[in-house]
Amino acid sequence: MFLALTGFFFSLHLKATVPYFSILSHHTEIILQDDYTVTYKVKKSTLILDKKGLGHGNILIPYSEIHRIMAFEGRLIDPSKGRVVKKISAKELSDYNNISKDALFDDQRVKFYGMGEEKLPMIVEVEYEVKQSGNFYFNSWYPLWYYNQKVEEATLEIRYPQALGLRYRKYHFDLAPDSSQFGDEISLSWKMKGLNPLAKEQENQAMYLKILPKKFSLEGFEADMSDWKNFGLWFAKLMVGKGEVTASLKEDIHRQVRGLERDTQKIEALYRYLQENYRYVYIGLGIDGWMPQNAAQVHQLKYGECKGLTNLMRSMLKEVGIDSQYTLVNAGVNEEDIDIEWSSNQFNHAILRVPLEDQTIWLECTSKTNPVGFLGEFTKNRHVLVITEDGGIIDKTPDYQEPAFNTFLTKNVIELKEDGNAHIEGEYIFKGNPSNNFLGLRTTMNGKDQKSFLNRNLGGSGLLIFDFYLEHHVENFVPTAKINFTGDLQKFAQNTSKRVLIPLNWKKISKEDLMNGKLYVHDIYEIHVSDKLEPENKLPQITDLNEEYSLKINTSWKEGVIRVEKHLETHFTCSETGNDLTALWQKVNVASIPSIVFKKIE
Amino acid sequence: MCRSLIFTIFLIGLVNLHIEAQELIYGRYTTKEIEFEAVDFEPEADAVVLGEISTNKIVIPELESNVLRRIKILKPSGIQHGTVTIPFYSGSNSYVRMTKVKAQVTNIVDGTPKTLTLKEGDFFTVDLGNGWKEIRFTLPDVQVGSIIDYQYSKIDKRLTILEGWVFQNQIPTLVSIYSIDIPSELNYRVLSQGEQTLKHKFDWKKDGTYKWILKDLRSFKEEPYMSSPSDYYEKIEFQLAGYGFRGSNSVFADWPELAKHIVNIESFRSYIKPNKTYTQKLQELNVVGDNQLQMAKAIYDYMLENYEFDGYVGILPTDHIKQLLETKKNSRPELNLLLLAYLNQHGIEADPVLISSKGNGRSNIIDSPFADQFNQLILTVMADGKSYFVDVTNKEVPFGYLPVDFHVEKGFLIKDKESRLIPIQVNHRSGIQQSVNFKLEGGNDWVSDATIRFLDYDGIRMDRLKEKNGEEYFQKETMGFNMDQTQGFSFSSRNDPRKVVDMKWQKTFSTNGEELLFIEPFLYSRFSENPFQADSRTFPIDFYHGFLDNFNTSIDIPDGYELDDFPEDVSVALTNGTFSFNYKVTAMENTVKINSTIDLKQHVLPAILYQDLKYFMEIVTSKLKEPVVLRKTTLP
Repeated sequence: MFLALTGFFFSLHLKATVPYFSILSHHTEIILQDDYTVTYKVKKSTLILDKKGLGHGNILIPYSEIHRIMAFEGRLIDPSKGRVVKKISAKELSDYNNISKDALFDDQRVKFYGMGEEKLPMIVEVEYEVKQSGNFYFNSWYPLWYYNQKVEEATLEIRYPQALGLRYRKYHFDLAPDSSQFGDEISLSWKMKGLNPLAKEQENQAMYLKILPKKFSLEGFEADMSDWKNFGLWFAKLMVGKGEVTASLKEDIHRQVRGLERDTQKIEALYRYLQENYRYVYIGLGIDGWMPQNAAQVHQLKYGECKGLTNLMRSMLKEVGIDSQYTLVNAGVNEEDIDIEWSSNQFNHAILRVPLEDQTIWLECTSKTNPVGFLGEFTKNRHVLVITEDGGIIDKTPDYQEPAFNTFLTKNVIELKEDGNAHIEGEYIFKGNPSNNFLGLRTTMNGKDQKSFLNRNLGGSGLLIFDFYLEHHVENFVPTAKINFTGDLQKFAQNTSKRVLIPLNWKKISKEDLMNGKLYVHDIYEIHVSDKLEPENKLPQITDLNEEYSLKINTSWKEGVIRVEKHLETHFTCSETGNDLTALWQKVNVASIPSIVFKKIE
Repeated sequence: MCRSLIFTIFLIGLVNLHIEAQELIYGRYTTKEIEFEAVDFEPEADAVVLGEISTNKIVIPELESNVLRRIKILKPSGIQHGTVTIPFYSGSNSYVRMTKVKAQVTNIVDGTPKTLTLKEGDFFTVDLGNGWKEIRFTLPDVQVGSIIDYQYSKIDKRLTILEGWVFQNQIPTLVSIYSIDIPSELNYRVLSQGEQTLKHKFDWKKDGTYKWILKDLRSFKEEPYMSSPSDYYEKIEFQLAGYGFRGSNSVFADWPELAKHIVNIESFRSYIKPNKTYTQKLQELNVVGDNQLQMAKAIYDYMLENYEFDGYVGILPTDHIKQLLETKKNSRPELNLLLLAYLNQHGIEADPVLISSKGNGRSNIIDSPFADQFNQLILTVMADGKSYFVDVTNKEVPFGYLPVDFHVEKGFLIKDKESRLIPIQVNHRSGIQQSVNFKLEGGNDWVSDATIRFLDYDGIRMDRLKEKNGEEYFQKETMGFNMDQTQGFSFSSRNDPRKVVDMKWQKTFSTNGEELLFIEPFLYSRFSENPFQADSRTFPIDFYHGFLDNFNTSIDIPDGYELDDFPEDVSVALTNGTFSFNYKVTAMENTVKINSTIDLKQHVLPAILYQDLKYFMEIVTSKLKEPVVLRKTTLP
């Protein structure tokens, strides 16, 4: 773990012009034992040359109940005199909780020593030993620890029993290890010298080594990590006996599904029960970080972490005769997909997969707002490990690119007043991804904040909502939010001396709306204007078809009512983000900018 | 006789709400509490603090606080309040200890209370670093209607300033009670903040117990254009003012005495009155300038170039001048005091000023000599008879400007016998001056030449945005350019004699021979959209600094076109006159000129003006987009 936390990369193809602020030499020894314990011995010497490299001398050693620090020595050395300026004892290290985000508590801690205003150059030498009980956790090895750091020498030696087996994979380097065998123990070692510094911008040329034992164990649960099937079996073992349903839970379950016949109805009812009655709380101690809580325990506490809530949902479905599978995922809006060629622990979250005859439903059991069967940004469109009794299998969560998941329809009836203000009655329907914004409104905000949120996010500028009615429902596992509202539009139209300009694109498309790549919009406006206004010339009709989107706006005028109908379809790849997305967003909104021009008549 | 508490607030009278305090007993609920379903002053609330009481007693040398809080869950979204965190500052020497933590949840099941109590192992203490810790726990079986009680004791060894009490919570609070029992030998002054607290009637007894009872407190949430929530909390704190028999020995009698104490701190003194070695060293700095202001700026620039701010702030230096001269890196008080030392040694008058920056939670500075009210040290510099406030920690901020969160009402000037509270008046003329000329070049190609000048704090802001985000992002996102229509963008920045950022570019567009041409005259506005979308407002609106924006556009009407239509003139102002907007169009023979000004004179506006402000901003944002209409007179 300590290696992973450094998180820095290296490339053999660097230009030597990258400045360096420190020079590092380090030796790491990893000793795996038959009893699945692992010992890490690290010796590290950092010569700090520049104050920008002071942080390179910081000492950071994570530990927990599973990772224990067995030995530590540190010293600061004045290189000009070769004299030890300061010895750093274990007691001098600060000791902090290193609790995961969103956890109420876990046992992850860190020992830390921060460099102060030492005179430079200065050498920081550190030696420590960490013993890990169980070899489930295994981190990659990085020859380079920091950007703008030169490496004089980096060595790694791994010793393991032949029976345990070992896998490794090299990234961006070809150096083969020296190997040797003494009895049953195999030794692999890598030695690198004179590595040039790396600039932050070069991180995608990273050099690192992934290492994993074939057989592993954590707190007595043994398994084989050499493929996903076997790796999944280990998780299946952890779940044995966790699905017990108590009499009182049974009663609750059957009360929820009473009178329901179809599986989809039962899934929906039990998921709603889970959302309304349980909350996410993570307390991770030791192996509890991986082992789900008992369903009965979660039922009693009315809270649990992702594994516990997922396991409870699985148990509830089983009780009503629906099979489902506990599934591991690397969750997060900007998280990279897992490496499916490297069976290992790459996960941070659990969800539930429910395979039905004609479709597969995915349930995010920690969310109080997600509609049934809809995963959202946190876990959609990525590979996952499905845990079955026969072992693990790789599957992929849906990407929700279909039109049904990317549509919004609006109908606006607007009464324009002489001063440019207006009254609006709107009916907005958001399907799939666009509904995301509004799903949690009722549960996460009070009434006043809901109105403010809608003022900001529902339409364009100047909206002041008086009343609204928000309805959520799910149609064939497509979440839908329907909002009916009335309100005022401050300065909806612009007045000049002779004219009134009415916007064609009052409700602009936001960048967030475009994020999923696919968007289907149908806006209808009925704008009632005074009989003292008449169209200046022909009403604008817009057709803009290109590779990224198609936009059609039709306008008509009849008996004091302007009718505007807008159809927009975007179709570009999700990778178009950042500046490209900004450009597209500008185009989509600018293309429809022309206003409808009315003359004021006496 | 009120024997040991000096109140800085006006006492209207006394009330006796003692009974309500007695009624809040751990685990005992009234029928009213069990039946309580909604908060009348905040009906949308999903949970409520039914009551909370903090009972405090000073037993020298410690303050013991016993806190009991009772929460009721009102809606499903309120279930999250079943998880509780209690942060506290323990310091490196464990100044504060938390003991006797207990918690329970009670649900009424078929009319009968069912209570679940947490065990010792259910409470976790988390070390957050920098002396901060947090007690965390979560209650089981929390549902709508649950009543949660939790209680803890806190032992605090710090008696100079007592932490006091924040009466508000993230959810509405029906009643919040704070009482403190102070022995006769200690004399405290109350530092109050918040509208209700400042006006509040409190109770005191002859035995030295003082009590505040606040009721019906709204939940606290951040709003846009708000410096920091902590500046608005309803709260009280206590500062030791005297000790001994009936508190007769004042800690500090007046501001000069406090100043004397501060200046006598060795590290502080090393900058104010450096010894000969450092005097010489400081004087060795070769400063070129025709007058004091030029010299002061030269020294300031030298400091920015050669010294580094480490990000730490405070009111007292921890390091001696010797250390700073060697390491060239330190916190705000050291850097500003070194600037002072350099200035003084070059014959320029400079004095330290302590302020409470926005976000420090002490927006109401009281005129009593308490250093703990402040959190930042800046300087006032007198150069050529004119005074400037200075902070030498930010390379982007030139001499004479302060970070915008330092724009506060008062500060404590440390200047021998003249030490006192002084107003922090930062003189500036921030604003945006925009000049645009539209003209037809060639058949259907229009060109608009734009020059925009950002002055003072607006200049600093634009400099920072460009530096932080890079030019491409700056042009697209900050300036909102359509890159297909923008050419020849240039950006220049200077600090002398004042901060000025100049931008120039050309926007081009083509027409397709339409009869009517609609031209939006202004190419940039600080308010492209109305920033105020919320339904209502609880707290003041803070723009951080005033400004005067002046927009001038001229449109050359080419042959073959005539001016057909233009926006109507407008002149509006907020009811208190602090924010005004003018828009005027002048049509001449071949040119039309559009002039507009937006003038904000006072940067903090009271919440009561919010609805007016919202509509005012809607007028401004809408008006600035209104087009001038040209008609083609010779159609092809």
